[in-house]
Amino acid sequence: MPGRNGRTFWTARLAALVLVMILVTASTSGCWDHRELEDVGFILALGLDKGENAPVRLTAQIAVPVQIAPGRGGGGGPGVITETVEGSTIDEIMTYMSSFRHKQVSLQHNKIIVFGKELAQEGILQFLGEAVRDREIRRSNYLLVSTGTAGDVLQALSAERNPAAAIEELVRLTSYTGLAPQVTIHDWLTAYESRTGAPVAPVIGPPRSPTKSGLEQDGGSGRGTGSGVTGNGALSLPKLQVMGTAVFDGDRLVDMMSGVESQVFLMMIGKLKRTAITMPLEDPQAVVTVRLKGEKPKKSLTYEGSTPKIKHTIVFEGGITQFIYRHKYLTTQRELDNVARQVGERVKGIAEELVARMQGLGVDPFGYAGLARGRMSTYTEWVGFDWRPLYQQADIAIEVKSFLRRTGLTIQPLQVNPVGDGQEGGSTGP
Amino acid sequence: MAGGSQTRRNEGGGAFGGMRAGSDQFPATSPEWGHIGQPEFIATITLLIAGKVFLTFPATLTERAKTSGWMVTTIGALVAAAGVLVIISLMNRFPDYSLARVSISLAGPVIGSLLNLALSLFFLVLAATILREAAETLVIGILPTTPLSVLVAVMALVVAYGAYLGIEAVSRTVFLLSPWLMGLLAAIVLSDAGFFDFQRLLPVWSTRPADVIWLGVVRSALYAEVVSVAFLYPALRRKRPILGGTLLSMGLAWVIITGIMVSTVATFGVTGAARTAFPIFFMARLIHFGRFLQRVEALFIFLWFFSAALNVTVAFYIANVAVSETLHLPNYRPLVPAMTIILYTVALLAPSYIAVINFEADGIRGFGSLICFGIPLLLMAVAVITGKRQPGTGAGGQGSSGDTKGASADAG
Repeated sequence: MPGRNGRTFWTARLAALVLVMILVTASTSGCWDHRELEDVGFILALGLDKGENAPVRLTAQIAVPVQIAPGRGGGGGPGVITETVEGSTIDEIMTYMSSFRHKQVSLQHNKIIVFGKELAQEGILQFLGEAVRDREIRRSNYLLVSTGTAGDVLQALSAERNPAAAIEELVRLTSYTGLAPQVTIHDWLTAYESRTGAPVAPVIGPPRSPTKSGLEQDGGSGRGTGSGVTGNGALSLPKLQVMGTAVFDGDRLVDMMSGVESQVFLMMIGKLKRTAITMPLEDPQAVVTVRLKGEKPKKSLTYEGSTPKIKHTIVFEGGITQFIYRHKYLTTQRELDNVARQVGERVKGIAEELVARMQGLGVDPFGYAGLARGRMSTYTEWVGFDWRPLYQQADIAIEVKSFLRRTGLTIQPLQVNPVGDGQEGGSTGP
Repeated sequence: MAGGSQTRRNEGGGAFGGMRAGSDQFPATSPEWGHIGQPEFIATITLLIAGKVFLTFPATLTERAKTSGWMVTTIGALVAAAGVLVIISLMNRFPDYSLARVSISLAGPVIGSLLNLALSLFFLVLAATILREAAETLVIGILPTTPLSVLVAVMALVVAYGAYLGIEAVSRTVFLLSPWLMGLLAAIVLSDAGFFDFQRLLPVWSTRPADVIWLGVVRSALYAEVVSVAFLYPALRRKRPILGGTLLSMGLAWVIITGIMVSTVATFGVTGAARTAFPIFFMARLIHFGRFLQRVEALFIFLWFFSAALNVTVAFYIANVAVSETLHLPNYRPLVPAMTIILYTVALLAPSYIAVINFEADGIRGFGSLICFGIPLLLMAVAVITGKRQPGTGAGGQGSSGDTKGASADAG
């Protein structure tokens, strides 16, 4: 009897265990949340514009997996289908889009969000702030502002096999060009909420001169800060370009920096990884291209009465990669220092004009408010603190420390035949 | 497994083999304690206190403490450490009793039972709250169309099974998994170090220093779970390093909690961290190393599920033990099925997730100290005034084993 009871007990226990295991595996392996791959339409890039009949017009690039898959070559059709729908919220539009795309439209693989200029000028928080409620939208999505409509930006590359990857690559390349910041939803939201610096975003649009702001019409003249900076607008780029910095006052777009201004801006906030800047020197015949890497800037704040005095030191070092100066060459430390000084002065000039412009707008993308924050005694005091009027009257001194360390692989110029040129070469031949 | 524990205990006559039969009107048979060693004890207490970092706790504390969150957790830890001294001193007077028996011995059957029910209710509600929060994390973040009731039921089953096996099995599981859980948590935090901006932690005082300190005192309830030491105390193989072990657990929990508070505010800012439902989950979603390493949060689901399941299991086990001892039951296990149904029901009581996190932040963490540190303090006062000790123990607090003498000296 005991043996039989024991067997019964263990049999019952085993049965209970198996039952629990079946229940657990069946109910926790996503039965309710299963989605077949072919039933899902993965959006890769999202564009938001001001709607005509509704608050927002959403343009989505939905992947066509069979075309986008590696190894398909270029023989097939485009890798995405681009759809545009208007509505009140992103989720409303997504639901509606699913009804005619024959797929559950999903943002899980979205990588890019582009805001049209017009919508950005009215404010993007109502869409961006709410978008992060959605579990499918990742805060690591890149955020961009277009010079025209976001729909045009996404349509411009719609014939590509993977346009979202192309845009993503353009954004990534800014760490090489330094012509625009790299900003994710997370970066934008933390900047917006921290109040220590105005949010910014990279600008995407048709190719334009690096001295021209994205707010200017094509063919317009560059802003004042572009004066003296080269950039003839002849750069030939296909369809789209990521260059410039959109500056927000709160969540409203108020300004766009040009590419060159963006390079200096990134130096000022310590986010410049590397870039190449081309500038004329004092001698009208001379143009230099220097490749720089960013250094951490130094900022300090003091008060003179109630007026803030800010000292902002920009530090960069790099090397000369191109030096166009007929028959002259850099062969002494003094000449190198002289070029470094002139480049530094150009950078300082652009930085000062940029600061003055931002002070005029009352926006602080440089993060000077963070210096004021550190001087507050309590967080409550900081929340009630109004930095804007103080910032607008602040005395901001820009100092540039520039160091040029090397001149590339050559330390002597190409041999130039001075005959008939009327000038003498900067160094003697062998 | 549980049967094995009982066999060993009966043969060996360890901590409970020497229980004074019939003392204090309790039955001679002891509850199913099992035995836990010092490492398992430390791991269990640490997880029980610090496990909350995976849920909404960093957001709710940041919402209240702003930039001073790390200071509040530190002040709270110091206050809770004082509470630990009281608890250990009390338990050294009753080395073979759990807190439930101690309260009946000192406060009498009526008041003592009420105090026990308050403690049991605290741990049951705590377990239900964590259970609900963990299930909501899964629904909101990963499985949006899976019914909440199914996730709660599945987790409740796992918890019930763990509690049924006993503290020995649970604490060993905690000990085995702790390095993995801590390693994954550290991996999330370190991977997001690039997002840190420590300027977001300024100014260090969120408001007047006196207000911050008071908030820290109230929020010592963040460590309220440490009272579970008084329920696990009889299960310890060796009681000598109990105070050191408890303080070490609290220290480890403080490091984890404070580290998470600092890193979440440094990553999201004050308003961002306070607005984010599950800051650690969001931090995991931020991990992004180029195009090759991203969307790695799926690797961390392990972290959420096991930390929550083990956390709830320990709290649920203590709720069961407190009730069984109050009712003078020789074994808590018959209570487990009924208590599991109560756990499931309580977990689903709240009408929304917002109601759950507000209850956790303002209810459990607002008044938890009164229950978890207030009751032992009250009992200690009674013990000192009346001079009561466990029958058979000397003035030095000797219990059924010589180790407890050392524990008394340790606590003293």
